[in-house]
Amino acid sequence: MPAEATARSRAIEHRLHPLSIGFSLGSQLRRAILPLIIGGASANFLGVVEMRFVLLVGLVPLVVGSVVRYLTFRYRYEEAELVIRSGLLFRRERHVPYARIQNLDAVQGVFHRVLGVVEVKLQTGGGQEPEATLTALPVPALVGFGPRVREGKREAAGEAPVAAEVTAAAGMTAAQGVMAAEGVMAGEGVMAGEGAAAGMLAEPSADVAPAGSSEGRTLLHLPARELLLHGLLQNRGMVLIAAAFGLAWETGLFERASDWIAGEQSWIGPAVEGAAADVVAAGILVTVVALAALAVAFVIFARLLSIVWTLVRLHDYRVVRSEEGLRATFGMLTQVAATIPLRRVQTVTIHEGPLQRWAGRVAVGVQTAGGSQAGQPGNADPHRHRLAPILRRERLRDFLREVVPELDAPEVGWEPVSPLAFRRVVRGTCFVATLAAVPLYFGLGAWGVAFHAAFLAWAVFYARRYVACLGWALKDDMVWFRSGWLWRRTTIARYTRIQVVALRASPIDRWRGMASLRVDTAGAGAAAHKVDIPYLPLDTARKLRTLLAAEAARTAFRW
Amino acid sequence: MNESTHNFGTPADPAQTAEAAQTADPAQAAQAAEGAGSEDPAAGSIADGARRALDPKVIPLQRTIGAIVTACVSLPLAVAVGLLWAAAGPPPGVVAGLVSVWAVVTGGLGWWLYRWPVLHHRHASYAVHPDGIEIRKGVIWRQAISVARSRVQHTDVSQGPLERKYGLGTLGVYTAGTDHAKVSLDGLEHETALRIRDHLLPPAGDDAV
Repeated sequence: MPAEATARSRAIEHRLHPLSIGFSLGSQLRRAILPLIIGGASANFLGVVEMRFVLLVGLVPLVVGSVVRYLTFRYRYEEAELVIRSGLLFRRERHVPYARIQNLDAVQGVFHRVLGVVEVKLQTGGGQEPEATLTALPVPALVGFGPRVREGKREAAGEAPVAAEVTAAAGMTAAQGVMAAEGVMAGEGVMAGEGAAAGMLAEPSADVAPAGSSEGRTLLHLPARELLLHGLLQNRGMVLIAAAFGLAWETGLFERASDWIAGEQSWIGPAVEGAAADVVAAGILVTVVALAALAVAFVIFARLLSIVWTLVRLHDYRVVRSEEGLRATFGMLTQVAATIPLRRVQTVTIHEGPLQRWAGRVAVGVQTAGGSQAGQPGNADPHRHRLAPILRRERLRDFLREVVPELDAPEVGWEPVSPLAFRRVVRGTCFVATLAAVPLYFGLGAWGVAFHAAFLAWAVFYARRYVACLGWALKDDMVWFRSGWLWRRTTIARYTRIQVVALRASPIDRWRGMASLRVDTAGAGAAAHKVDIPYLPLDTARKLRTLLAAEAARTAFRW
Repeated sequence: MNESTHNFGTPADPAQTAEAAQTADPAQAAQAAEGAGSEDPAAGSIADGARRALDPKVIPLQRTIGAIVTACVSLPLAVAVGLLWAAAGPPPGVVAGLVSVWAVVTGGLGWWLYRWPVLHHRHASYAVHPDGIEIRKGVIWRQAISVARSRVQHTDVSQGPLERKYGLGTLGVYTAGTDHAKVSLDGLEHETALRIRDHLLPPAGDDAV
């Protein structure tokens, strides 16, 4: 490349797409609208000011903020890092080295797609939030991202070519890029992500899409049938119903709906009331059957909702293994391309619920060091926690070996926890069972005894199963930990990923000669399953700590 | 469980310590040699794997802090009781009750914060190994934490005003972990804290990212 071109491009900074004003305003509005409405309504109620005024006063800063953010936001590609400048009063210049980027997500919602922009999230090892969120990038800019990151090119995308051409070129560069990236450590994750995004964006043109997808092996593809099963097994419907209910309540829709159903002029309310009266009049048996039918209908409705949600959200779910990265692409309305460089994987967790086990399926999640906070709406992170949302049990081994190459087989000989553990657990569960039974004594009198006995039997049984399912193992230079009876989770951490080994003993632990062992790794979110082995015999825990600490000391940690 | 020849986490064994010093990087080896060369064994490398107690000066330090905390709780309580007495003029029985509550709170807290540092000191210890550090602490909930040198992201030594008065320092060891992203050890002699910090710092050019 000519030297003068390089020199010229060093100064060139890029901006976000002007539409980012709209997107950032939209996302801020979503967060601010409820407090504003509530504040406005209460101010209106108290007769201080009119609601319109409150809304206006609340909205102006948001609009100004979004415009200022757009106007001050600049990013540029340096040789080894992405530099982002933002802020008017408090200027901030962030340097994100390409080599430190843990994850790269490209998310395209419906509006993003219609308008031809994409949201890019970069995560580095530190912190919970994405290190940099580029709210709206024009698609051509994203396409230029990967090669630039890889080769440290700093030439500007000043003259933006026609989008279709660029997209086609992106498919090419992504494919070539991966071939070229063998052994190149810096930015391979970014590049794979770029390939994913390019492949995703190129979907409309049939000749480009294969170029994007042929660059890696498909590890997992979920056809509609599997997604249907996943939706059925996973109880997403209740969550959705609860969310919808909450939203309706907050926005006042609920009141209006109840007016509509049970109001003065409504015919629905009386009709329902009449039907209910008829059923009750028909006797207790009919009432019970009708209630049961209602419950079943509700459950079916919730599961149907869950299925639809899954089909839309995870549409065409694919995990592709390219040179060093894993790439998950999915989504019908909001399309997500999430990239995980393989060496960034800290721990792997296998999830098994009772229904999943019955259907012979498991789910596999991975934890990476970047952005460990789960459950943020619109974030691709929850899907990292479920890298394989549903997987046939017999395919688990192959899948795990792709994610953790050192792993031989998911079957290990589990070591039990202390034989005294059952006594400790059963005391706790029996206490809870008794607490739950106390109100029944008041309500049911003598029948309360029967319920109490049943609860206690369940408590003992549950404690027995729970302790039996606790287990740990050392195999293939990894520490394995399993817990949970009905919802069983198995977490695997390689010795090379161990950060800190801590032995902890509570007063009861010491009294019983036990200890728990926590193997801390990077990226273990608050809700994630961690290697935290409870109820170990003290000398076992000590030996294990010594051994694991020595293994950690022996190896080097690479981000 | 495979047998590890490493003794990280176990009490020191002179032979293994020597072996570890041989395999360590040149800078550290030089440091170790320097320590071995001097007459005073206490001036040798801190990374000998021996378990050490905290500096006993941490007891008066924590007692001073305890006295301050007691005063901060006790004085406002006394003022509140006094104000109540002056303003409402409750019957003498109530006043006596309030005063005795105040006395019990102050006395109990004061006694507790006077006793606690001794227990804390008794149960806290550390051992620096050639390849890491091991920290034990906790009176009721005991902990034994191992951090390998290869996992240390950075370290710091901080000194508050009271710590400065007593010549103590707090060592902070930062890792990439989550629950134990920062492992801190207070009550070290400042000089010792600096030596441990220097030992734990990753050798230059070892950034394996």
